[in-house]
Amino acid sequence: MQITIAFLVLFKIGNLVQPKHFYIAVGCFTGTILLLVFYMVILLLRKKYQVKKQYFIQQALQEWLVDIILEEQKENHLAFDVPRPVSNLLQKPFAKMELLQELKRLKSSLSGQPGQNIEQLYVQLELDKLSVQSLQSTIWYDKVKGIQELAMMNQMVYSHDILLLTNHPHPEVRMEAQIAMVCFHQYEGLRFFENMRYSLTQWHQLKLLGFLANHPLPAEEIVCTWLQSANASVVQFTLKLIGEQHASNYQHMVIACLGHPEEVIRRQAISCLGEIPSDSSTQALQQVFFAEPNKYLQLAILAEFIRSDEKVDPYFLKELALTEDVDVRLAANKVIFQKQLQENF
Amino acid sequence: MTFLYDFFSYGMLLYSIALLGCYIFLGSFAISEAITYLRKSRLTNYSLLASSPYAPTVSILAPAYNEGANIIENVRSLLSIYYNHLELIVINDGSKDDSMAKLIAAYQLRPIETSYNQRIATKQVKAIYKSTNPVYSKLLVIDKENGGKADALNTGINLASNQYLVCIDVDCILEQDALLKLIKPFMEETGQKVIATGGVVRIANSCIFENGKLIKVNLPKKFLPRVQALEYIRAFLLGRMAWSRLNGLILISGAFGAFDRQIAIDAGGYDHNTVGEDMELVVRMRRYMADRKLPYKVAFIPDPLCWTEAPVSYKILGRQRNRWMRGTIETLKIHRNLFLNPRYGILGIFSYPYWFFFEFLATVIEFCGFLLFVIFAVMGMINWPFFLGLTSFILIFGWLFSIFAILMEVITFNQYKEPGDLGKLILTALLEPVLFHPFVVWSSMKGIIDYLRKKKSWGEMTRVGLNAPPPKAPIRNP
Repeated sequence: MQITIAFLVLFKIGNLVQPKHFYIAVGCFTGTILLLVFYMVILLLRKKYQVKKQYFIQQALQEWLVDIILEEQKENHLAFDVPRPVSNLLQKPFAKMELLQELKRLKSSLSGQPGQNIEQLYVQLELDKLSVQSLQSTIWYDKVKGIQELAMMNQMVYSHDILLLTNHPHPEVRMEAQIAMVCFHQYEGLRFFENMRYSLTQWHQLKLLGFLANHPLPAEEIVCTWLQSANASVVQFTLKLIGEQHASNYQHMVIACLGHPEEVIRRQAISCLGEIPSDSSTQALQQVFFAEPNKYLQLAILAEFIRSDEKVDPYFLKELALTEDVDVRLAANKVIFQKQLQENF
Repeated sequence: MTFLYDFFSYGMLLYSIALLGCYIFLGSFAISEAITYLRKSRLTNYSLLASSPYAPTVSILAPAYNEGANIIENVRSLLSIYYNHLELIVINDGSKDDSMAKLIAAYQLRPIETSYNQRIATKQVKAIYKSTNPVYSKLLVIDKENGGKADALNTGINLASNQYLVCIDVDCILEQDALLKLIKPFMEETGQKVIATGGVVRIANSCIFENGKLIKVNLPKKFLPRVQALEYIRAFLLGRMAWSRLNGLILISGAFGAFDRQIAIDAGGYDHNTVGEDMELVVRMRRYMADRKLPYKVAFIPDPLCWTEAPVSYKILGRQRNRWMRGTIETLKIHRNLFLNPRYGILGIFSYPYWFFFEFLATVIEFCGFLLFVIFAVMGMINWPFFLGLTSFILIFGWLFSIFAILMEVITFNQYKEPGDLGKLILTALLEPVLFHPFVVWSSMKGIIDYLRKKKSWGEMTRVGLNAPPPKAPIRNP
């Protein structure tokens, strides 16, 4: 029955499809192929032309930019001289965009006076207006570009506009906005933690840590607020900060995180205690070991014991060395071996 | 007989339209995914990941079998990869040549005593080596009995201590920033756990390498590697990119892919009993997550990050395609209960049926179609205007798809910049249906026959070597 229906369907289609229909489709496809090939050729020629244009502009700006970078601090922030050929060139929007790209490239590898000179030139030539235009765009990648430029050029005057974007629904926009806030104000920039609607990804946390690693932690009550945040990623990030700065004064709060319902936080707390080792942290880790439901977190605790120089209760380790789980037994034996080595040493 | 002829003609037409529909659907998804990726990538500073103490730890697993000719350079290339938290585990899978001796001498290796849990059963490990030279502190070499690629990789998984595994073919050349780009998707996970990330593999024939680093990209000079370069562009830039967007990717190339170590172990590691172990592992990891109702994602990176040498002779190409087909059938058979199973979401509803109907069955339909065409032609039953119309329709759509893939390449990564490269690629696309595709269908058909005969071997894969004079030792014949 089903086969008969299938045949009927096929024959009906068969009556509808005539060879001329194929030739019409072939004609359409051929036309599309020719259009695509034509478009590719145009695209390649355009790319080639742009590379040449970029090269020409870079050559024209190179010497002038080198002089500006090497210039000593100007009194009363006097404007830099812009030679006539350069100012004529910068009338063209393409050249202005290219200069902005060049300044970004330079700024990313320069600090101190040369870096400040670039910032000053950026403002003097009103390139910040281009960045603000991007910032106000509705397209996410333009917005991100604008935020990155303003943050890189240290344009704190726009920090209020950027703060509004720290809860933007697009992950890239809010990430760059949050990073810009930290870039401008360091820990104070993290005030967006208070109303954060989304999680910080690991990538995002890594970027934030990159900016904050060399700045001492803020007041204890602020850190405590973050550690009690309802957003698990904020707590995780704070634990990373404490670990990074070896801030042992937060040990009791980190130990409290070992009982947190979120697994990522417990994992981070174990790792953090490894960075601030002490007798009490070792004891706390021993105490939570059997209560920890996740085997991999138990293994993480044992891995921290291997890294640490602190003494671990030998009865605890012997008990683990007799456990049925091969992974735990192996890890416990490794800790015992490591501790024996340390004692002998 | 007329009935059979009509069934054949219109059946072919319907199947072709369904296939073309799928290609259009995938192509449209691929464009938006690739463009979004590029926009995001241009705004990303990957070097942060290379130096950060919070970057995830990675173990590269590189199985080697009779790679003595190039093993030293290949390992040096892998050691020079730009990533801080890295261990490189080279697994010598019972090579019969001097690979092990060369590694010991070149990298000052000494056997070490270490204990590890053999969570996945493998062939016996003879010894584990580490270098006495601190310069090579990231290197670990396992010498084991021969057990095949899957077994070698499982040995590496057992010994690996890092969060993520990057499984590669030891003779592949990676871009310096390959790991940075491959690992980033794992760090961007939010609601869905990223269980694996695949990277694009490109054809390295005719490219210039120095000290294991890619210096210049060239379009392969010979036709066979060049047509494979086009095939890879199509498969990776259009196919996998689109499947990634749909979160339906089930194949991460064995030459280059990253996996969450814990999930790979919990899912049981690589299957020793299939020659398509790369695809099988991804499907099993996906099933593992779906069975436990854990949200997950398999990501894909369109950047050209890994360069590999393509077969230059029809003989070797035939063996490769034969093996690929056997691997596909084995994986589809092992996981047959996924077929149209809504419990597995997109995997059961789209990915598996697509692979069944358009990757496996396409070969059978094309081959049988050709045979039937010959029979009907001999019997004088062919409606020639209809036949020519249908054939030209399918042919020209194939060309259109290839041209579209080339356009995507030009818009995105534009790797082939020499004057004339575009013309050569277009010409290759025009010749492909005549000089390449029938051979691939024939080799895949032989793969189906070999599968039915229960043939399990990989088939010897002789390679010429990158920037090296021929010939080279066989790479795998477990």
